[in-house]
Amino acid sequence: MLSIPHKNFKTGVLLWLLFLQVIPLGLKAKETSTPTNSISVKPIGHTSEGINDGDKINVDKNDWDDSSWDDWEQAEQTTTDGKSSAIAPITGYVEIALGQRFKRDTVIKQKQTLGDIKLHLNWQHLLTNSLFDGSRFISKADIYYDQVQASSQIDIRELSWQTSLHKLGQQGQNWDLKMGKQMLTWGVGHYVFINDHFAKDWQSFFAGRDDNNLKLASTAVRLSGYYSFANIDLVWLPKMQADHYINGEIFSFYSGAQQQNIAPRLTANQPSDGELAIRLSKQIGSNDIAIYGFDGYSKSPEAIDFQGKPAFYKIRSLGASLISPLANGLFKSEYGYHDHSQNSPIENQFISLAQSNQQWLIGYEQEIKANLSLALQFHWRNAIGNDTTNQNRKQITVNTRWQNSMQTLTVDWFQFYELQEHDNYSRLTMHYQPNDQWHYKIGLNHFLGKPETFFGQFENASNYYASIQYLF
Amino acid sequence: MTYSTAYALTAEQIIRKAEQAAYYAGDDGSSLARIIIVDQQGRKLMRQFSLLRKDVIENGQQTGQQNLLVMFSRPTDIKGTVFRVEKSNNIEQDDNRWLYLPGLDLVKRIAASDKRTSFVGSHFFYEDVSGRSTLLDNFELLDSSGENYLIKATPKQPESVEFSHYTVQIHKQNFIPVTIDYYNQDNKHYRRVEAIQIETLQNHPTVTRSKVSDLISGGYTLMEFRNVQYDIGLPDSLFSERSLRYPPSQWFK
Repeated sequence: MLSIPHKNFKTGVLLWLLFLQVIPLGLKAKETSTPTNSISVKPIGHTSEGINDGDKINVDKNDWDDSSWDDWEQAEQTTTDGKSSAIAPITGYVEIALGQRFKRDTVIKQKQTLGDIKLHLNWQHLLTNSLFDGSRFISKADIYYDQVQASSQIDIRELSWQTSLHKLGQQGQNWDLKMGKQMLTWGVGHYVFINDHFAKDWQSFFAGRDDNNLKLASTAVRLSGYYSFANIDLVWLPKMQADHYINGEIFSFYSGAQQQNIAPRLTANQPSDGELAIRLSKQIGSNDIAIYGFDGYSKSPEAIDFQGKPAFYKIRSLGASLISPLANGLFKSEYGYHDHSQNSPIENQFISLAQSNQQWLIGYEQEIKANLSLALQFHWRNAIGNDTTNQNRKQITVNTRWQNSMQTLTVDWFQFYELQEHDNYSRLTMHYQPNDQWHYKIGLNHFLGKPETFFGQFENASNYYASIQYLF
Repeated sequence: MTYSTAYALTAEQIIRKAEQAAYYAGDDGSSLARIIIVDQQGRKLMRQFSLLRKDVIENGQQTGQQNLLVMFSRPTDIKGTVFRVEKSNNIEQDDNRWLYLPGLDLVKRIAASDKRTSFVGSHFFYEDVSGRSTLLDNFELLDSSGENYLIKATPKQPESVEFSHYTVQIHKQNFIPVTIDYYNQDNKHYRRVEAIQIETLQNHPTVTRSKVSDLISGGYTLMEFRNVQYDIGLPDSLFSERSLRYPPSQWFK
């Protein structure tokens, strides 16, 4: 992430105003080609209720003639105005998002938890020269002013090149390569990650930014091989990418040593080593199964080094997952064994990081009636060895999602509940998308529990927010 | 086809031929598609996607199973989203569905859903697009005197659908379902699906423009297909996670 002086804030606003003024309305030249062999169909009048075609339902001729077809990222494809377009358009959105706490946090003065003026840009280009034919260049960026941090940011969400390796002969035909900054996600849990050790942005998640912002881009080389026995994904991250963990910048957290919440703007030395992640996956009938391996680091500095500072610790993990249709829904399960034994005792002398932990997830989801779905997950984490970091957790999550019949309104309620400590976290969002340009969202994040519990420590971070997006 | 046959077709036979003509033309196919949704207030939404389809053939016979890939390019918020379906031929077994969300690089398995709910926010139902199994209704031939057969369909499980019955007009020459009219419990005509334009492409009569109307609210949706191609030899391997993460653009040249 790159910080630029926030005098650019004005530029951001100007850009935004400019975009609102100049977005074309997608009207292009009219379609002129006529089908060579077509018939227009007139049904015979068997309409017992006597629907009057000219009365209520008017097919506007212009509906068919509105020639705003996009190219399908095809340089060779002729556009509707008869010209060949080699450059894909830039798409994206402008967003204003605001949020604040329900209550004051005594250690953080600021009541505001979200204040973004954001320009999101997305540009993808399909290369067609002979050497790189069919490969894709993908770039996505958030350029925004963050009022809460009083800084302007450029967050590269993706900057990658993706290609098939078919030019490397017979074996290469089964492999794809994607390199650069990219999103990486796997595993079957919803907001519960067991074998997904890729970087996440918990600050954005708690503040009510879009779900896409839960993930941070990682610089990685990803090789994907597709064979009849299994699909293979090999991911090498040259340098470990940490989470945007809760560090006291926007949300305070509980300190066991001080028996209260603190907001120290925590920093930790990030290891500069690389990481490796591997997945083997296969579809057998209607079942999706996968095996995962990882050799790298924790993404938040939950250990304490010999100087008493927060530290990232090494993890090696092995796991598996299964998704299978069951009754009228989907059953899912995931397991992971996280081994911490590579961390030297010196690094761990101040905190006894459990030698390892095991995690299970069992879930079931089903559409219980039209446009209403219910999903349940049970997540159990069990520390092995001497554990004072309280890694044992048994939590359930309940997710209810409702959409109106035209899918313009979505209400989503996601509830975490810890069975032993009874701390809990509710996420409630309401999306309204009346058209393809304007999207509105309101939501709240609510934490409840004893101050020393995982969700309870964020009680004063409970917040509500609203956002407006203009998409182009 | 003319009336050279010595016997008249039964309702079941006509419906099967219509199903074949509407959903199983050729062994595979590709096309671009555009949907324009016009709500009751006249607001327009647009969806655009490209489509790859391949039938599962065993011993030279159609099994009724199909593999589908739907790759969205419009609107902005769902651009790059890819939908993969393994259509089941068994009414007891649901289709397998996956959704790829590019913003998170997430391949999400989707639970089976009510097939009579909106397809991507349009007035078309998922079942209108993928085809309603002919095993789910009882059929009765009402009229074969005009240029279309008129068939009445009554659901075998009335509690699972929103209609009490529907009538379908099937073109006698090409067996394309031209108009489908749905009636609710009060016998009110509330919904119509119609073929607006049919083109013969590679000897397959193809509905290139269709429309569904909500006769209660006055909203409607138009669907249009372009660049339709049949029997292009799509490999089976195309219908896998590989295409979700890296859409196979070469099949649209």
